[in-house]
Amino acid sequence: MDQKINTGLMMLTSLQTFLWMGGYALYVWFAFAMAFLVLSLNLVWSLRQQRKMKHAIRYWLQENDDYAPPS
Amino acid sequence: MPKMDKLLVFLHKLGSPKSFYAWSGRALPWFVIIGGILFAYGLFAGLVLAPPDYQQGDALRIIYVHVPAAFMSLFIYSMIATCALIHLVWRVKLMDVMMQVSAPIGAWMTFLALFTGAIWGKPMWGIWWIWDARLTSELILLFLYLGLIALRQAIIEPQQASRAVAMLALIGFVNIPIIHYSVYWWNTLHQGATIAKFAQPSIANDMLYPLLAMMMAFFCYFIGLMMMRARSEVLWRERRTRWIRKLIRD
Repeated sequence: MDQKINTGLMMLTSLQTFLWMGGYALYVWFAFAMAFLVLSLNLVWSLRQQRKMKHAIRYWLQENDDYAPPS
Repeated sequence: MPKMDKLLVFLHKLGSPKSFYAWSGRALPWFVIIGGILFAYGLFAGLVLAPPDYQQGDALRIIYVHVPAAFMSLFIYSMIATCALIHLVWRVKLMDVMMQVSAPIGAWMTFLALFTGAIWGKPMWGIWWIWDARLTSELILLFLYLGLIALRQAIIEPQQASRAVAMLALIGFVNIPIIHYSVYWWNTLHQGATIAKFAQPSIANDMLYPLLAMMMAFFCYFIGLMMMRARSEVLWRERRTRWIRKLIRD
């Protein structure tokens, strides 16, 4: 029982030390959050743009049927 | 000579929109997988395993996003300048697509490098921003990227736009060596290089490996994203062709 509490407590304190970042928590996590935000936003935008583009081409092909090669 | 011809034919085929669309589709998942693994390792090793710096403490960990972003900002611009040269000399269609889709990603990387640099500068130097040579030249790089994007949108005729953008990209390339050597030429606040190509890195292995992993992860991220955007731009530009029609209909 005692053993269990101790390991739990130890894990909690080590997590706290980790998050505390030697007093630089605000700076370190701010920088990493910003990096995550920029990279993920760019990914989401690109995925959305890719989907939109396919719709746009499909629409364009329908509008410009005279471009259709004879079948 | 025949060997040379074969190589040129091969490169030309590789750069044709249709075959680019095919091979990039096969290559893309690999960049996602390898990039994902490198991000996972780099983040864990950088944030948990690497020891705090003896001078900067845990604030040094900002290096694991700052340096990769700064490195990519220079790499992407160099790539754009190379594409510009090839585009102007050999008129390879794909090069213009690469220039167009890479510019915004490069701008974001430059922004990220400046932003994380400011966050790092506050606890280390006591200020968010200073008109230091490195910082100023990197800011100019951001304006160059924005210039590339704006110039393309400002010219209506695509052929003219692509040539103007290529010229600007080549002229702006002067800034790249200036950024790189700024920490040597002007001895100001920004610290010197951590990793130089032909020298022993001035950093312990525990910190070096996560840094290299993060740099390669950013690289994979860029290549993957660029391919994705280039593929959809190629679809649009080639929409009049038969193979696109077939691809979209199926």
